[in-house]
Amino acid sequence: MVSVIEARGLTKLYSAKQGIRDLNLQVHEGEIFGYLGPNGSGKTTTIRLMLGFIRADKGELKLFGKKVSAGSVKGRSNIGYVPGEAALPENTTGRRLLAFYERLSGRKAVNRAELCRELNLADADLRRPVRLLSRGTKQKIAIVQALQHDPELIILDEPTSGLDPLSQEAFFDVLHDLRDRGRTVFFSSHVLSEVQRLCDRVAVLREGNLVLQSTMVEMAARADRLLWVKFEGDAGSQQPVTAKEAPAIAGARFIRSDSGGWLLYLASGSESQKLIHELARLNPIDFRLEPALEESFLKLYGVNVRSLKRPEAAR
Amino acid sequence: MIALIRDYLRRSWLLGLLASGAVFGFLVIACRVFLQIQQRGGASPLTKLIPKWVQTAFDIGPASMTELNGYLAVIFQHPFVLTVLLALPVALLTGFFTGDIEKRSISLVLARPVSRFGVVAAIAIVVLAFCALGVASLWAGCYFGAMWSGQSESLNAGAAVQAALGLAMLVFAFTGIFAALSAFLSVRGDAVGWCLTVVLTMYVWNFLAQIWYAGGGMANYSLFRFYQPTETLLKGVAPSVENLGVLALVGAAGWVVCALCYRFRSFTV
Repeated sequence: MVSVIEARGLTKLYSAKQGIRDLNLQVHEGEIFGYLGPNGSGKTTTIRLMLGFIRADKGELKLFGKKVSAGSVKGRSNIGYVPGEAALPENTTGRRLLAFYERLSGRKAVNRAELCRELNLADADLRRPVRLLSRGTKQKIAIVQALQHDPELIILDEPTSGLDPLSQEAFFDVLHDLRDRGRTVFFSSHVLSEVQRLCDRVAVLREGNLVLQSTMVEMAARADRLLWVKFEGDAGSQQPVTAKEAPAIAGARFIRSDSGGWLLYLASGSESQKLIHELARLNPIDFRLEPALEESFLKLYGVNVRSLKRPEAAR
Repeated sequence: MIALIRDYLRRSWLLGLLASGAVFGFLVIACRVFLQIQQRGGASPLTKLIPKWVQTAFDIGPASMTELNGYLAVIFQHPFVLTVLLALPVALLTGFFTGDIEKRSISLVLARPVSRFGVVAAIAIVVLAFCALGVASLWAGCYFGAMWSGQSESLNAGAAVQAALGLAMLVFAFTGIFAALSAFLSVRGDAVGWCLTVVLTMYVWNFLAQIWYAGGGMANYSLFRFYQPTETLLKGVAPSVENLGVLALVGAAGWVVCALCYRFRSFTV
């Protein structure tokens, strides 16, 4: 499998706590790679290194098999980039801006018309000065400028900020199409749900360290789980039951009772067989098992999940 | 590169034309004012209003002020002219370098196959072109103003060209300093502040050195010391190669520092 992005021992520290440390990363051709982490975890630093905006303290970073150094322009025409806060020049129209970026890219904007149509970017909006446009429309222009020249690698830094749900949906469709055509997408975000929906593989950063790199399928398999079990008898009483009053069930943590059933939290690695036996004795009539991805990610982020209230998760 | 130049031109043409127009208009009006003064009995009443020590400092005597070239020698170093011609590169350079970093819009340019030296070169071409236009407007203003006032025969057009060349080199020297500061800093307000501090310090330094003879040597540390239109316009002495050389060297060194700084700096955008 061809690696489009390859980082080995990549380190860039702004201070003792800020930056990235010893990052080893591989992004393969034709995949959508999710890059997750809370604010300040080093996502944008990684992207700045990829684009040659800053110089690494240690390690090596290759794009398309060629080493990236600060200020180098090799292979840039093959890259599309959407920054986190799209800072478009304000005193010009969207149309002129797209034409300007097309000329800078040195490649024809073969995808522009199609992208504008798919993202519902009206021609009237493109004729207006950028400063008069809404944040969402500016973000759409930022997306079009990155993708219009059909780059091989698309680097997205929290690209959905400002987009309404419909536009997000359309944007995800565009990204899926690009992947189907063999393009590689590096998708940096702190929103788990969009990474979960979109990405084939994911890496998680925490305080500059890579704490996980796997496929979404592996991730879901290894994640903690939420188990909702419905009982025939009074085990799932409508009466509120506190965690202390709830029976101890092998390895599972009782969250609450609801609709004649229990919601249980199963940490990864809990003894499933023993749990099944214990629950079987309580005459369950229905169950639903879901990966608790959010909790798993929060654990990776170093957040103590026990301290979280989770009414949404329980519903 | 062509795309970048076109973009920088698009962003600066209005300011560049306004500055050039202002300088042109100022010179035309100045020539008309000189005509009015002459019609009311000559320029000597005007010079009587100027303190003796200022006349000495700028090498202006009542005799010199009675003719157009002497009058223009004062106008060529008038604070309005210097302010406009130095404010223009400050506005453009801090906007193109530091402003784009501060607004983060430079990230969309540098993410493309555009070299950082290419960005510096494009900015240099546009800024220096507008500065040259500003200085050319100054000369055109004095030529047109003299013609309109019916004093074209009094004007030493060749000396005015030489004085304008000296001014062009002064502006070039300052653009080098402004470019280096703008490429180094990341906040436009800081860059503007530093540029203005440098100009004002050098201006005051040069002024003090001329009225305080004991400290005259310190004028050598001011770029204004190397711009002497009075000598050129009054006595027909061409700007010395030494003076022009110092200004050219400072300007060129500033642009080299700017290019290296921009090439090797980090862009946390």
